[in-house]
Amino acid sequence: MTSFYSRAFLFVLLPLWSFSQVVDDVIVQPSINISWETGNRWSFNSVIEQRNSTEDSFKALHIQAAQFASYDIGFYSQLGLGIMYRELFDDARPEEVRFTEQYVYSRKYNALKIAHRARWDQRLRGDRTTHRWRYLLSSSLPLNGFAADVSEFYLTASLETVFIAERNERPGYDQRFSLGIGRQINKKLKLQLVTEYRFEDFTANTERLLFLNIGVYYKL
Amino acid sequence: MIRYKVLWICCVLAFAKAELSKAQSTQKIEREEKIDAIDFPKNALQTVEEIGYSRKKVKFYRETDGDKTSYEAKLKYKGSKYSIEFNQNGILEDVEIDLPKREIPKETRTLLNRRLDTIARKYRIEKVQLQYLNKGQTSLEIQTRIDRKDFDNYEIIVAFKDKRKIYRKEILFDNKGAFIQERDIKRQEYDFILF
Repeated sequence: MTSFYSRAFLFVLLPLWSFSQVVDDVIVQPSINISWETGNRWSFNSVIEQRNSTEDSFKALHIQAAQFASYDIGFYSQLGLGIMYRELFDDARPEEVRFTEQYVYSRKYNALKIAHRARWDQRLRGDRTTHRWRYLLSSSLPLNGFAADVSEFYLTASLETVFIAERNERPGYDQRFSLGIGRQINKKLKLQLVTEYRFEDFTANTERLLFLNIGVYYKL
Repeated sequence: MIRYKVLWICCVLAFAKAELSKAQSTQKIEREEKIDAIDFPKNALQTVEEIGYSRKKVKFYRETDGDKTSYEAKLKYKGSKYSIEFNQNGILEDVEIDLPKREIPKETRTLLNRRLDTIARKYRIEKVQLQYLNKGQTSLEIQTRIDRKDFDNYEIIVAFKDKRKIYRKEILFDNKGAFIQERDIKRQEYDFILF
């Protein structure tokens, strides 16, 4: 049997290689995601994620847990609400609670799926409240046929712009690009490796970060 | 740094070639995959050539559902998408051609809507195909029927919305607009998580 996806691997590794000279830090972020579709309009997602810096040595930064609920409002759109708690491994800084509200519009064009997501985040850290408005354009494409069947691969890519505002602080902008590959391991389980490049605060003190997101997705 | 290495090894193993795990998997295999022309039934290739106006750009697929295998060739001709389906022996089953939904005649559309109204209050027709069944005809005869739009059925995909949920069905109507059958389409899954 011929592989129709072999070239895709190179694509995924490309950012790793080309940006290795220009990143301030490489961050490794494993996650476990569980989703539950109720069969009606509601669906729920839970995620546990851990973040590590590799700048000097492998160092754990924080662990976080989030719970999301989504409600289908139209043929293609969804409203969502989420809450997240982040436990930092740095006692000098306060833990974080985050609320998220979002709207998602997604459609399938043959095999290609495109989604637009507008999101509003409130990050509560100690006595600080930071607002973030985010827009994400993402897509996914099965590498064989019209759907990612068991043991098949899919590609995913996204662009996200974030506007950050906080009282008594200069507003900031982040820009993120990501490219990844996923594999449907069985009907309920998939594994996804996404490389994400972030320009943080790119209008002022730009910080360039490379994220390696390794996620396990399980569907109840 | 050892942890780093372990991580990479895990990744590589998890993404290792698809063929390996196929044999190990015991669950019912349900898949459709793109294949090369050489893996397509020979007699079917001939039919694709004849019905598909010898188009060069044809995509070939094999569908497996348990023990059942079928084949499908997809091509474009004069802006329309053709889907030519065969059984596992390469015998032509039907040809399906995309149709913009506004090209359904008004009287037929009224009949279709009347049926759809009984299913849910709100709906949207997402796709319409004209189905030409193979009734023991030659490729040439079928091609003539396609030219004359002498089709058998409308195969439509409709998204429905009612109070509790949003779902999709594939519904078959005959060429006069009379209902034949319907089947549920399983929910389109997100290939990536949106949150």
